[in-house]
This record gives sequence, C-alpha cells and structure tokens, in this order.
Amino acid sequence: MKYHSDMEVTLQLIGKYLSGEASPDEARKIDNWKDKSPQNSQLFESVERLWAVSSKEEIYQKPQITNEWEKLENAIVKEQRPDLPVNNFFKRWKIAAAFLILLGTAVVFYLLRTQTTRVNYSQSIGSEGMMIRDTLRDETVVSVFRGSRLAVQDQFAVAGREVKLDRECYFSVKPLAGQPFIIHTGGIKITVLGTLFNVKNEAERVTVSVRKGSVGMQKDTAGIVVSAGSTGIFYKTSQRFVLYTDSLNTNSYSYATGELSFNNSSMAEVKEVLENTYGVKVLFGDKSLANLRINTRFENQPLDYVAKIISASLDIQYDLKNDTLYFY
Amino acid sequence: MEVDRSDHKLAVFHRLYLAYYVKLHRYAFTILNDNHLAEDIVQNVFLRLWNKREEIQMEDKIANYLYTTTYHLSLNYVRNHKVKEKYMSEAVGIANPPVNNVNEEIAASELSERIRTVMEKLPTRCREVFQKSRVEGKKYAEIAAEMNISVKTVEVQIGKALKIFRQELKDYL
Repeated sequence: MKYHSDMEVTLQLIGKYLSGEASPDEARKIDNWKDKSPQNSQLFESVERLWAVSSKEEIYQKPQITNEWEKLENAIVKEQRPDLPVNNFFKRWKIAAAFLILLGTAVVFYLLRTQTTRVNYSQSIGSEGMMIRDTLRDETVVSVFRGSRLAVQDQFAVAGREVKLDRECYFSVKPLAGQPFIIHTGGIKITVLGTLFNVKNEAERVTVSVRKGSVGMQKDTAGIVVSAGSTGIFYKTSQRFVLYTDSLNTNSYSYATGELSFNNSSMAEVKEVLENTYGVKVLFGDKSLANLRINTRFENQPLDYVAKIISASLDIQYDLKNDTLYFY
Repeated sequence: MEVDRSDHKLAVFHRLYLAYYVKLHRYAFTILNDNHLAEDIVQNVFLRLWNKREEIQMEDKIANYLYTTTYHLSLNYVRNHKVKEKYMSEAVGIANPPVNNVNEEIAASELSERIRTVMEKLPTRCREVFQKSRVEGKKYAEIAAEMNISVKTVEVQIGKALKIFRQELKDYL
C-alpha cells in the first residue's frame, strides 16, 4: 500500500512537471530524483513517452549543447576582452569564417524548418548609467545611448538582422548581402544596407540622422529614404514622414562618435550639445554668456579638456564638479 | 605559471553550464512547449548568471538561481506572447516533428491508438481532467475552475491517470 502511494505521489509530481506547473523547487526535486537511480530516470522517460503522444504539442528534443555553449562563450569572451590584438582578430575571423562555412548547410536547414515569421529577441544591450558600445555578430557597431536599450534578434546575422530600439542608438552597419538591417522603433521600421546613422525615438517623433549611406524609414506602405547629410523625422501624432535635406547636425550624436563641431555656434547650443554628449548639467554664471559664439572642433576629448579650451577661447572661467559644468 | 583568473572563472562557469543546461532546457520546455524558445531562454539565464558571478558563489545558491530564473523568464515570455492562444488555434494542424525512422513512427501511432482506447476506460472525472490537460492544453488552475474542484484534486487525478496508463500500457512504455 505504501509502495503504491509513493508511486502515485511520484506520478503526480511528474505529471505536474510535464504540464509546466512545477515550481522551481519542484523541478529541482524531480531532477535530483531522476539522477538518484536508473529506475527513476526510466520511469520518468516512460511517462514522458506517454505524455508526448497524448497531445499534438511540439515534442521535446534534447538540445545541442556544444553549439549553444560556443555561442554563449563568444558573447561572454567578447564582453571580457574588447581590445583584441590584431593577430587574434584575424585568427578569430578565419576560425569564424570556417565555422560559418561548415554551418552553411545546417543554417539553410534551419531556415527551411522555421516556417513562422515570428522573431524572438533574447539578447539586449544597454545600461542606465553610460553609453554602451558593442559589436554585433556581423561586425556592425552599435553605440547605445545611456538609459536606452537595444534588443537583438535570435540567430542574428544568420536568420536575419532585426533589432528593437526603445530610445536612441548610433549605428555603424556593415553590409551583409541578403540580410537588410532592420530597426523597429516607435512603431516604424528602419531599413539599411550599410551605413552610419543615428536613430532617436521620442514620445512625439522618431528622428533618423544619416551620416553616410542611405536609410529607409517606413510604416506600412508609407515611407521615405534618408540619404547622407539628411535627417528624416516621423511625427507620431500626424503619422507623417518629413525629410530635411542638408540639415545634418552631427553634434546630435556626438555621444557615439566623440566628434564635436562648433561653427560660430552660440554657447546656448554648446550647452545643449555638451549636456547630451557627456550627460552633465551645464550652467552659466551670467545669462549673457549664452550669447557668446565659438568656432572649434573636438575629437574624442574628455569633458574637462573641452571645457578648458572653450573657456580659454572665450576668456571665461569654468568649474567642473559632480556632473555639473559651470561657466562664469 | 599563474592561472588567469578570468579563464578560471570561465572554466567553472562552463562546468556549471554542462551540469545544468539540459535540465533547465527541459524545465523551460515544460512551460514554453517550444524547443528553440527554450534554448534562447536558457542562454539568457546563463548570461544573467555570468553577470552575477561575483554575487552568487555557493553551488546551492547557484542551482536555486538557475531554476528560479528559468521559471520566471519562461512565465514572463508566455504572459507577454500569449503562447497558449497560439497553441489553441493551431492545435488541430500541428504536425509533430518527423521521427527518426519508420519503426519509431509506427510505434508512436500504435501507442497513440492504445492511449485513446485506455482513455475510454478511465473513471469519468479522471478522464475529463486528463482530456482537459493533454488534449485541450489547459492549465491546472483553469481545469480546477471549470470543474469546480481544487488544484490539488487536479494533480491527484492526473497522477491517477498516469498510473492507469502505465498499468494498461506496460508493454508499450
């Protein structure tokens, strides 16, 4: 009698587990129980067989752990050592290329199998406190604005190149034949082949500033093509696309490029650019300072240097403390 | 020669990966009913563990973290993507992935037939619960609500069904 009730309890728990109703503790308990003896794992497997055939759901298949580990390891190692010496870079590229060739048939097979167009985004890039620069599998470089998040589709550069952006990111997209780079943001779709551009999604609009190449912005059947030096804006309230040619303000994405360019710019403008680029608050000791103009360029300079040069040019003083830059 | 600490951490992490990946994948699958999705979720789980590697050191805490995170990520996915609805509308048309050989296929269809026969023999309430769970794909809570019984009773009835199936289909399982 006791034997039967033990068996029933076990079967209840297995049934609960296979139904997807087991708590994490219960799942762990089942796994430990399976490991304890071959009779246990055989019992589990026989119920599994019965379970699989009793419904039309997808059947469980044991995963290819070596492939999965390689993918994960690449993602981790890349994160750990961003500055690989040149020798390693070419070596890794050769290995990656060989791996891709070998994977060729498997990939085709996978693509044929996947009939649904549903795309999953498991990987995401971004940080609350600072801009994150990352290189995707196709060598596209993304600079995700602080506080923003970029979600990357599964099997990126294999099954497609689709990403989802919530706020802002600067892209340097590598061309990849047959796989357009697609960004979903603010309800629209942005398509590129190989370009340098910035995407900013705000409450009332989506702004795409193109530095090099061409970018398509679309929603359903409407859309525009934004070329180098132009800016395209999608206004969410009116649901309209507007193209502004020759209006590129490269300072709007200095956060990613590190390039600041001021051509007779007012300090009011400089204030906005510095705040956006470095994430600091800029204050003027006297309101009239905002009207002073400056002509200068910076490339990948720290804020302190920029402040020093600006102050020297205008013959004013500055104080940089605790994320606040004070000109006086 | 000094061992590179980061390589050592990665080696330990790899060992954990090998020890738990398949188990977590199986668990995620029970909730998601999708092999590829389960793979993606579990990769995510391990990535999160890697990012927390300084905080979680003891094996017991690690195992707990892995199972719990798998559970939450899988449930969140289901909640956000209404996977169940998709299953319900496609249930009739879903084809099982091809079996490896003809013999297996025959065995599977035979088993399927036998299961249908045994199901007729189940006690009424037991059969109803099993039907709602396996054929209609309903969760325990739903079944309990529909039949006005407790979730515990649903658990017990499923256990009972499995016991009877095992007895009747000894030769096939």
